[in-house]
Amino acid sequence: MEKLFLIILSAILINNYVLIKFLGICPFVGVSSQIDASIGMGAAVIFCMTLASSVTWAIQAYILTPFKIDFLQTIAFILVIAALVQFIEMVINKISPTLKQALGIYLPLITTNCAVLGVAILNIRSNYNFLESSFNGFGAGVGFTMALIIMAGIRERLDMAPIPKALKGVPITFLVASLLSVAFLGFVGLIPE
Amino acid sequence: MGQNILTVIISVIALSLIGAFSGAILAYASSKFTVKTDPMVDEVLKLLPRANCGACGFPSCSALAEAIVSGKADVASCKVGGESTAKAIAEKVGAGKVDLKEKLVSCVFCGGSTDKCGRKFEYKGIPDCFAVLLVGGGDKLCSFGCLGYGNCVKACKFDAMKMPARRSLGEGGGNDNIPIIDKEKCVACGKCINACPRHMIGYRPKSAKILVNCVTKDKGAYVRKICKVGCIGCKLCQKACKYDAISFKDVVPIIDYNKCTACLECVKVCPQKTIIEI
Repeated sequence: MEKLFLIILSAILINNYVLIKFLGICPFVGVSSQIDASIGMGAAVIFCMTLASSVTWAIQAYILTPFKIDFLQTIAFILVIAALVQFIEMVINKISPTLKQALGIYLPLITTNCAVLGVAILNIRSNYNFLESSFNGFGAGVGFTMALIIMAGIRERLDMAPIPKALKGVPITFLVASLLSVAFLGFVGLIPE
Repeated sequence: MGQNILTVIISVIALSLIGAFSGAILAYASSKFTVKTDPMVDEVLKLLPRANCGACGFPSCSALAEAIVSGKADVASCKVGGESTAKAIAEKVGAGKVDLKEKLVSCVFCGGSTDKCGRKFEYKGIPDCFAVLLVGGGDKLCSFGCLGYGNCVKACKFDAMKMPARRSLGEGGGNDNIPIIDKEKCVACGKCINACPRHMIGYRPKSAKILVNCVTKDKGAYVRKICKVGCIGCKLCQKACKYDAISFKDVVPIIDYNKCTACLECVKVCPQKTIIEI
């Protein structure tokens, strides 16, 4: 129980997939201009990462490892994640049009997101079991969402700020992202080794 | 060698199986979980501009398309598409009559550029009309005119507004710091009207030839002091108008564009050059 809690905490703060591991930078910059959009994207990522972590763990444990074809990990994971997201989209489309509206275009967008794939692969590298993988995926998703929302909040304020012309738009966003990342480095050491 | 080939075969089989399995699930899901949508909605959506500007009152073009198909909205609801879109949609959904209104465009009713209307102080804060307004009611001497920080320009989704750069105080020259609206690009979506904290942007008919370029409610003597093109309420235009098209409610004249023949008599007599030909 304690380990699961530590895994979630670690995935959210200490090993934040965006700000510490630098995965999924593309949506982090792309979808963080408005808080509404970033919440939608974040929800889709949490959803997708949790499921992808569980399913890819099963693929690794029951197909790749027994047949000694671990080198196919990346391509197999991509295949499975893509199919999974597609399947989820269909199901959501049918059972909950409201959820579909909320997640909207973000669900297909994250199919090939490197953060989702990254979580799946790092789960295997860390030798997590099924439950730990799922929790790590969930935590990583929450961490991603948090980073995205913080970023969106800052960017909404940045729109109002007098920024030098040369830094307007993407340059200042990158600067802010790097400062955020440095700030998150402060969490390293929260959990003693 | 044999070991390698075996690995290759196993990889191919394993990956194909995973692929085939996922494919089969997806194929099953796509038939099992299909959602039936009215094909008419898509057809109507194709005719709409798909800019999702919200001018019709619906959050998106697809929402309007649904409303049109279900009969909750008029076929001519889309302000952006105008006549051609309305006709095309009417043909598609089989509605007989198309109720078209005259085409409107947005208009900034102020001519007080920096060389014509002075400033109370030099504002150095956040370049936003609402923010300026918080500091002593704005930096402009006129408390009705355009502040010139371009909230409307930022709000425009159709690239129809431009803000000429502002000169420093006292520098002469043409119009600056008052947004210019490209009437060909303007679709009267109302975004700029809502974005203006002074509520001095409004609609005018696209075909209008003259314009009262002021919204002041101040007395003439004061207006004359602070602005070179502000309306002083002298009513010379009303007297000059032969068609009874000009009336007064507050200080500034109101032009009835249905009666106006664009004879330009009012433009000629206006001492402040507030009424302008466009």
